[in-house]
Amino acid sequence: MNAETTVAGPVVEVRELVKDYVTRDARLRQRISRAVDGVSFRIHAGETFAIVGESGSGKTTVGRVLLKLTSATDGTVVFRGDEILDIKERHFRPERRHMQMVFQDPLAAFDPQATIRSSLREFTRLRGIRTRAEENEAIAEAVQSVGLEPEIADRRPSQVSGGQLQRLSIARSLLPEPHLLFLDEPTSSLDVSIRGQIVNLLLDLQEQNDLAFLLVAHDLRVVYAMAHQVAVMYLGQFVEVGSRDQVYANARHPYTRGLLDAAELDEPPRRGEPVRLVGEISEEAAKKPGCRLTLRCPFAVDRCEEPQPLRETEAGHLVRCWRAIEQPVEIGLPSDD
Amino acid sequence: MSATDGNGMTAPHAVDPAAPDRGEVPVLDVSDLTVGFGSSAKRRSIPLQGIRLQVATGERMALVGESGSGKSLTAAAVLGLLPDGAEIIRGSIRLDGEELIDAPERRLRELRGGRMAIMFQNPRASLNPVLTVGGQIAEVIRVHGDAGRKESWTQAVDLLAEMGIPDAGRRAKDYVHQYSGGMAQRAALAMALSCRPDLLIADEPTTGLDATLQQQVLELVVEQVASRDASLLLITHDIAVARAHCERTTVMYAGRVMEVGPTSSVTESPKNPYTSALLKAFVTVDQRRMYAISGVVPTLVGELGECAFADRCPLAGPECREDVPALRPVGDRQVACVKA
Repeated sequence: MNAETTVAGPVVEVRELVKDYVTRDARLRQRISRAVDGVSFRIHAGETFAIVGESGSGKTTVGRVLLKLTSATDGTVVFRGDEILDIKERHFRPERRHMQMVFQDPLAAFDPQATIRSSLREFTRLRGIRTRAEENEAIAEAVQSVGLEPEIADRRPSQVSGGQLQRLSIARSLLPEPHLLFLDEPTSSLDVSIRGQIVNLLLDLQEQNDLAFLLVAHDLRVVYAMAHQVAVMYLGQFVEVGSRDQVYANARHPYTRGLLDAAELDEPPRRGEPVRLVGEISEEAAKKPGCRLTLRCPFAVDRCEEPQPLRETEAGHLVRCWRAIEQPVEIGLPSDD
Repeated sequence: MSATDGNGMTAPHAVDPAAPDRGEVPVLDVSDLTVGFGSSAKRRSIPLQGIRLQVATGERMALVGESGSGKSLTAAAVLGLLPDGAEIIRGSIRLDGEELIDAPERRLRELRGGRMAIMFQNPRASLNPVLTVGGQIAEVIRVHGDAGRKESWTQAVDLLAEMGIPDAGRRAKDYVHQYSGGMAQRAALAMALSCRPDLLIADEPTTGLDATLQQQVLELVVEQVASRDASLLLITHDIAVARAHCERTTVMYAGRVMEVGPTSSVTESPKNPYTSALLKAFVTVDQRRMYAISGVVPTLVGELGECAFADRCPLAGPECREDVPALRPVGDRQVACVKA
């Protein structure tokens, strides 16, 4: 595994990823729920790939499987040129430092009893740093890179603000010099007036270090500011994938349109009629062969019960809805110009 | 002072533009509410300082602020449910003209659930997990009214159906854990409205929900409150929610009211720099950059002697440090900023 030979390719490529969770009901019968159902994407260095969708769509599971925090049921993940899903944890460990995670709750990333410095120290070791002086130097550098004074590392997590702790948790994730960061709702525990600071910090760090980001977020404004590519996920499947502008300014899938309308975004301006989704996400719909949104979609007709492949509507823009492609005007979309 | 800041929202009261112009006595009238934590005068923190909040009959008022702004504490004070250690230092809270500060607990209990009701962020917090959903709503109806056992059950089922719960007769016999997040919030709304309150306080009722559900639930709240001629106090951290659902907005920061006025003018032409910053944080997203307010939300120790936002404000000058800016009329609203 070496970086030099793989510079041109994507940092990570995911193909047909499937993840089943097996639970047992009261009678101990097995119930299989498919959290991720055939998801494919790639992320290049310096690029952000965002997955959006409601709770229960499976978006966080994609990131967890990709980081080998949980096993995959099927599919492949190629990280810096090597397939990693089949590698045993023991052999994978040296590579693990190149993929790091930033948690929604920064408190989860630190030992509440210990100073921040001692939590950070463990991550300098991943980089092969052994002496105390080098450790402190690396920590000071990381803490400064997120806009804080190095002395803050001597405090405990409860002694700093939420925004500072999220900065420190980003510093923590950068210490092992990763190529890929999985950002799991990085701003949703933060106040509005702090959120912009964290987003801008992440954007700066991405540029300085040529990092690949996998971003999972509810907040469509944060995604708009950060993402290059966006995938909209519903019940385990991508229903729309494209560049940020394709998905935001030219949304095709009724689910994407419903999400965008509910978020009351001012930018970019909406094209086409507003879409109202009714009801709630329900796992039962994930077992259907056809479109999983039919019960909530205002445009559902009989043909939607047939299997819906992800089809290209324009270069790089994929949609899992036959009506969006064949009958755009009938479902309130501007016809392709 | 400008006379051209409304879009038809001109205020008839020249002296006090924030006063509601629909009812004679506002449903809720909070003035100079100041709450402290801790006993020693020196170390005491003052999470609410001089809060002024009026909600007129039939009005939908949004109370907007970040965490630590004191918005939920204000609601707790209104309901007489301040946490242990908190103490009202001064001020007045009137519900339909009746003073609630120092009112006996028995009277407050009558008013809670009777004339004022609350809906929490987590609907499961307002519903008892070991009673059926219908059963506990029926009980509230029975306790506060004169309906019998059978009649109150029928009313509870009707109310659940009105809140959009399908097959309400059967679902009323379920427990709250059998409800989805959106359904549970509908049930919590049914519970809150079961005694026809004059004032519904909704404290971040949709914060845990996805955007699509948030929209559905908030529209239901607005519709149900309107059809009952009740008033709504909607507490939210999201100024976009206020904009979509409330006629008037009160913006709070660090335990102070920063700006009050018609939602359309507060969100379209904010006069307090904090309101502007809050709006930009939500609305403006430049290419690969978000608007950021530098600094952190202050921690509150002692009474403030200056504007709470001065450290983070792009317009702050020495005059902002002289005293806490008082709420004063500016056009169609009230603003606590010497620069406005």
